[in-house]
Amino acid sequence: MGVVTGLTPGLHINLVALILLSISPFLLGYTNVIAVASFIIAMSITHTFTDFISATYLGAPADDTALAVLPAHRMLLEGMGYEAVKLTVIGSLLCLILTIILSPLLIFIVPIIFDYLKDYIGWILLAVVVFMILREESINKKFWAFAIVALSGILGLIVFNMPNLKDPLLPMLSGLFGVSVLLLSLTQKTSLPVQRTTEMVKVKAKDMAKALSSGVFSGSLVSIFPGLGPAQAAVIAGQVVGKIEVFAYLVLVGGINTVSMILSLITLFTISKARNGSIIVVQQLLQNINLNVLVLFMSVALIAGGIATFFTLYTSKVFSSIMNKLNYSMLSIFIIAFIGLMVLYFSGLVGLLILVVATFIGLIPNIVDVSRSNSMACLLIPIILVNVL
Amino acid sequence: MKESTLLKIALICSLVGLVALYFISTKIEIKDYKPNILNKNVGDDVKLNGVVTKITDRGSVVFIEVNQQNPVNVVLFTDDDNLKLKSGDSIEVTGEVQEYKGKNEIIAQKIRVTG
Repeated sequence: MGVVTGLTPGLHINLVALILLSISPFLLGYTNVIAVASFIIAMSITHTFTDFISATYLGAPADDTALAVLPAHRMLLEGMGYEAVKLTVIGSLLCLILTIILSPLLIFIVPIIFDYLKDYIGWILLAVVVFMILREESINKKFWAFAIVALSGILGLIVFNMPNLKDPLLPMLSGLFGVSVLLLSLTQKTSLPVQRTTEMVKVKAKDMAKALSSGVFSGSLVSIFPGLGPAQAAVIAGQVVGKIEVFAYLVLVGGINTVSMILSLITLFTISKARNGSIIVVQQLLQNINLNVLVLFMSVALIAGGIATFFTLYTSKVFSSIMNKLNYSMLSIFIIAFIGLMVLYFSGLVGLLILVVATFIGLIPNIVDVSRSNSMACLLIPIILVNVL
Repeated sequence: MKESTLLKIALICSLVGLVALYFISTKIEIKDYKPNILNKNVGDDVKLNGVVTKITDRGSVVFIEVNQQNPVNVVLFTDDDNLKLKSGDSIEVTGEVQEYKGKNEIIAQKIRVTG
């Protein structure tokens, strides 16, 4: 099930978890509540492994994969789409193992950090946005970074306050990070080289250590702070870790959402707070969890992570072999049309307009040569305003 | 096409699009919740005015019973530990209608105390 949600743009894991909750009375006639909750955990962990496939090959990101689209797409254009997915899988798997090893320590630390920092999250994110703008090299680039932050932030505010809009993230993130990249590839008459599927991907040990530690750190932030998603954590991690090679960056981005899912279980156990849709559903089913159930869920996560690794790599190989046989320009047009149809289906005509506007905003960073992560202001600014004002 | 021309087009379309989206968002009306039309408006965003008769706080989920012709269940997912809402408050709820165990309930997106 997690494989299906990960591969389908717009089908968010939270939606499936809510459907499961609504049919849980029926399921509980055949099995027990722990089994249903374990299924949700396994599905959610699998989703954090597989969702980079649609971001890499289809350019259709979710909030947790948006920052991986550009480096992953660049690697796809160099024939390394499989390696890009493999790096995110390495990040997910190693961060999963590392987080489970560190969990006895995290059980004590999480409540302390939560109490200490809970009132400052808006200011921390504001500092991140200011730093993102100031780190650009010249005054001219700083101005454009500010303009992109302002445009994306206003777009986020309008989209999140739009009544009757379903799946607001799908058109917004697909436009900013997906369709805009595909359109630029089309104008540059890019051709897709033969996709290779090498067995060995080398990452410098120092960069790997940086990526994994900041993946665990920033993934922890997501589970501790309300309203903070993997995307915002990835922006914070990007600033904290400094310059690392693109391979290590994909390991980092790959690990964050897996860490946040595991840490959400620890948060549910330690401070009885549910930090994402799947965990809210688990909480609805079980109210609170004890240490035995926590250990059971972590075992389920470990098994699901192991199986998801093979599924994701196999599916990525299939995608790479299909890509080899396709005309890239035609493929880009097809993917843009596919995203458009998905947006129309999930979010309606207004969603389509959001996709168009977000695509125009998403073109600007590339034209003026500033970092595309400034567009993440679409998610950061609304959270800053809620927490600071 | 020159990059400067492309930049101008992208900027103008972004600004015009943002203004258009803003006006569209202000023109979309949220209909009032009609509790007698069971299951007809599942999935719709609705507005509900009424008086709070019961609050059950379960940490990150708060169940609120709002008195109308019949009591309406409102579910609020929140991280706010200091929710300032009590029985007897008049509130306006904006949220999505969902069906749970054969009954309609509103998943609240916004709650405003009106009196």
